[in-house]
Amino acid sequence: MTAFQNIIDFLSLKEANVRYVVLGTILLSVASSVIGCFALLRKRALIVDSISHSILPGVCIGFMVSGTKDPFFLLAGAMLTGWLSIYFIDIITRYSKIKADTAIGLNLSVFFAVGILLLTVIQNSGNPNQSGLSDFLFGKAATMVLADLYVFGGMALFVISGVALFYKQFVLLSFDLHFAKTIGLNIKFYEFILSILTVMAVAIGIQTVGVVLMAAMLITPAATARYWTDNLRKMLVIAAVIGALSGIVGAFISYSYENMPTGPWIVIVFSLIAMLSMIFSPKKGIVAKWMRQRRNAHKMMEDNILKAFYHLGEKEGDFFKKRTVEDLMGLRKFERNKLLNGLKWLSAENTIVHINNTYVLSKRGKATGARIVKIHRLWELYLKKYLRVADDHVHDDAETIEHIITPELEIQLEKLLDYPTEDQHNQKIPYSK
Amino acid sequence: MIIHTENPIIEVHDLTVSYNNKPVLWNVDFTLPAGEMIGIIGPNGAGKSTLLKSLMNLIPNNSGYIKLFNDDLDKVRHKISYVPQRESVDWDFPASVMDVALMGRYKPNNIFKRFTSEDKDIAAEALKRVNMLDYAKRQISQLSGGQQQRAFLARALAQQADLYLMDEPFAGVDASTEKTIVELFMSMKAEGKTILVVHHDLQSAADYFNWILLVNTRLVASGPTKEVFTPEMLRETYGGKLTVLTKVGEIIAETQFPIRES
Repeated sequence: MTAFQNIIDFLSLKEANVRYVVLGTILLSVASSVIGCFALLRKRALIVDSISHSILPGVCIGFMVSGTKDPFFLLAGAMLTGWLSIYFIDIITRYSKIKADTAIGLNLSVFFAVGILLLTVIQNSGNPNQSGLSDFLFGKAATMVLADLYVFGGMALFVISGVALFYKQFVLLSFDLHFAKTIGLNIKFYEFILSILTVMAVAIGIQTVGVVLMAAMLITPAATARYWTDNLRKMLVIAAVIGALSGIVGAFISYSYENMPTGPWIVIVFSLIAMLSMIFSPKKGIVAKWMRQRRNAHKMMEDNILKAFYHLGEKEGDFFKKRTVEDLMGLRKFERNKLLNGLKWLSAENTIVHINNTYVLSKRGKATGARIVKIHRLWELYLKKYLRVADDHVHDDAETIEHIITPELEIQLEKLLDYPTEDQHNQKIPYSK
Repeated sequence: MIIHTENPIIEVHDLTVSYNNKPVLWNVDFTLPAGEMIGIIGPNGAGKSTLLKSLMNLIPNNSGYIKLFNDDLDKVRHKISYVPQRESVDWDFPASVMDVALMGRYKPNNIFKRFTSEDKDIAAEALKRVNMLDYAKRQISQLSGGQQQRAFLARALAQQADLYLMDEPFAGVDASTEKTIVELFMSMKAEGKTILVVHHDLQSAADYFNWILLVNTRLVASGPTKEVFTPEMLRETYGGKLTVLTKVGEIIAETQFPIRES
């Protein structure tokens, strides 16, 4: 079977087993990503990691009690020890001198150690049902059957509906706990619900993602979604989509390759999405930042060229004389290549006209140049009058500020300084009329 | 000097509150009149914010009781609005200014319902009163300190309470925002609201408040500003902690001794 055919088989969802795996993984990913947003906003990411490691002993106990891999028993055990770990962290931080991060570290390692011990005991016990139990460490989505889907999918739906139902309460809890208390919200109750839903979301990941990596399933999609929006509802949806996409890819790999754990693949996929988001997201991404800087540099260059034209015109009393590159470079230390680029942009915008090897300001170009010179000189006056900056110190500041003053601020500045005709260096301030 | 009032809106009786078994408020006992602008004044660590928090039952008390509107807190919550310190929340939370103002419309009995158009009008009106309506859609992390404080005040206004408890509303805001906030408080007072403000600037205190509580672990004074805001009282409040009281507090904390026998 070729890889291509594999993909077709998988995507067509022809086989019932594939359908269970895909549906189960999507439900689980959506549930954990959504509840993870609240864990992230409440700064409980580490607690989630502690829960995910703490469910291993519970899974083992569930198996020891029932003697089978019945998901009911495994989940019951998982939830019990998962919840116990939250409880212990709470108790330790409240009644001892140990701080939260230390308490979390202690819990995580102790519970996980006990889990591994129990797992070893089970593996040595010779119980034939125990084969595959170690898959719970890193997950194996492909082993999901219809009965599993009912249990795991049902619980995932429960978590999702819980978030939908208690959305407002969870928002209040996460943003301002004290305020929530003062309006009479039953904080203890809703915190309990939120932690139970969180434990559930972690526990249902045991088969698909595995205990070790389940924390990432809650936190990474949420952290990634935060890059794309400042709106909590949108953040929940984006996190759910990222989680589901990664889940499907992980499930596909688990389906195609025998003995390939699912969890690590899911984590790798959404970590990739997280990285891409850091680079490409529209407002907070690295590329967006870089583009902004480039745009700024672009504007500064254009402004500076027009200003140079204007200064030359001012000096010689002729704004529309043909200028060469050397003329401009004689006035201001431009880098030749950058200057040529800038001239090209300005010609394209028709603020200057390119004739043979010379350049001429257009009317619009002159107006823009005049505006920049005006703002520069107004700003120098403003610095002198309102910030008491010495006359020989005002120029450098004005060189930057002239590019960012908006038309509204320009009007304010003119009014504030009462429409001066000259700056402190006796240079004329050019107004547009 | 503790001056009591008839028909108080707040009555605090023998209140003692401690952190980690160390008393931060000791045997505080006072009554406050309705419809006034009241300041809680005292040095850092004097228990001013603690007093506000215990009024709202946000921290447990060791002894004493509190009556608000001559009733238990739980029966009159809807008439009270509490504004925590601005730094107490993470302003990077994904919410808009309007979202914050709308939180003032949450009540335990409507929390499962959608906001009505009336709720939205009230929130918008509240934002207008603090000059923040133009910023309604803005993400709260982009706000300046003064704007954050005004967003919090809008949330409080949207609660339409009768009694407002404000924890350091003037901390870290610029002069013009402080002026806006004071004017807002004055207009609220004119509407008959009672405003209790934790404040630490002595210069402005006499201008802002017509009733003042002077606190430094114990209650030094409570009464009309003219009577209690005197140099002697201020010296007593700011003259440092009482040595014996501090020592006893330390012993209680060290020995983990109970603050009341039973």
